[in-house]
Amino acid sequence: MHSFLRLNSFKIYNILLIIVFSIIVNDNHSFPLIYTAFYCIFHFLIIYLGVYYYRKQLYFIYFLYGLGLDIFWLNEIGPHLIVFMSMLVFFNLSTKYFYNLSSFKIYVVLIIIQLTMISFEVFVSFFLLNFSFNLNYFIQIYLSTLLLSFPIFLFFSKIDKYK
Amino acid sequence: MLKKNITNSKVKRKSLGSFFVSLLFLLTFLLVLFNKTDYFVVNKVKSFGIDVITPITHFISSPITIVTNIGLRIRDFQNFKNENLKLKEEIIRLKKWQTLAIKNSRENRVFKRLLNSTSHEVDIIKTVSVIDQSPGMYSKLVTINAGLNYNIEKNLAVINEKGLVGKTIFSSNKKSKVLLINDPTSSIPVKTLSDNSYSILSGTSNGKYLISTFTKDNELPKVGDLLVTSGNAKIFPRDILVAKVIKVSEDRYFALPYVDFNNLNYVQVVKSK
Repeated sequence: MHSFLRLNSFKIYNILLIIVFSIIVNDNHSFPLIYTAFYCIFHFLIIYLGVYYYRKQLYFIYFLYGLGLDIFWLNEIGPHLIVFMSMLVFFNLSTKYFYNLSSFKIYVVLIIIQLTMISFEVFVSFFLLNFSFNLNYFIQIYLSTLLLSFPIFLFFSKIDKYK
Repeated sequence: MLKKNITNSKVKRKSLGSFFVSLLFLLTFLLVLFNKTDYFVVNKVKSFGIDVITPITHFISSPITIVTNIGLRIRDFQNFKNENLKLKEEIIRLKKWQTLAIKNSRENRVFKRLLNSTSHEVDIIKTVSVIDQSPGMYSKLVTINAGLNYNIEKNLAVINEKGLVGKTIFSSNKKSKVLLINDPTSSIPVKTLSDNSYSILSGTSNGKYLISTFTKDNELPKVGDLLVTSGNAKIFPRDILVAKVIKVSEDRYFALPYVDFNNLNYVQVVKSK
């Protein structure tokens, strides 16, 4: 019981994930920048978990969040769920190669994965469900990712110390 | 013996984990497949998601909502003086229109009685508040706080005081999703008030304008023409204000919707009488 209640970094990340998810699925249209920032944080967080804390429980977590985003944002099921589940398989196969990289290289890899993931989500929603492609939002999210990723990366490395 | 038991339980746990992961992938595949083919299962999943998860996410994100509301209040307060002046001018203008409207309404009633004509007013099913608005990256959706419990079903028109807002595309027990007219996948049959030329509109990808996807007999309207619902699709009742034509090109035109989609608070779900 005591060990269940004790907070470790994995549990902290999951609490953060719930909070960020709740924010992005709720109405933030008055301040779109807040929404975009949290959208980027959510993706970075989920990738960070997949890369550094890979375990089988994550398949269930990814499944729930993928399904949740699809239902709340698109009212259709597909793009996020497919991309999240595929990404976790990719992390399972590729994380062993990341351990040889320096901290900065891993950071760059995380950004590339995040941008690829968002692009895939948009492409899958376009091809599977005929959703339109909005270049403005896309650029906004790309820029926010580049701006926010480093402070988030630093913040997460502090959380990692809670073993 | 103990070592063997521990190894066995580890193997069992590992195989159980693999089975669980495979099950999740199978479920993912089935959900994506059912999304295209079977509406019953997917609707159940969506209903559960919206009805159960929404209150939880609202509770968790309430601090952010409070901060956002405070920010909005401060912004409103800064514009207080200018808004007041604008409103005073608008009241004077509206009073003139009110006199005219009362006169026209009286005349209208008398003419209708003389012609013995029927009216095509709308039936208001429910006035509801907007509880969520999707971010707009993928689709332009809002969630309203009434569903099947108030007889709100799929494909009902949604309006507000300014005009047409959208149509319901999904209803759970307590909530419904509304597809806004500025979504690129929406399709609104409209006609011009001036010469009754018919066309179909859908949203542009940035969600600011409406664009014509079809015009009957290639009759394009003029800049400044008012567009109202034609009533052809049987979803939207006739003569609801939709947009104003702002740009006409060779084979299509752009219109600016009357509804401010960033300030949707209360809407009405309606159907034709």
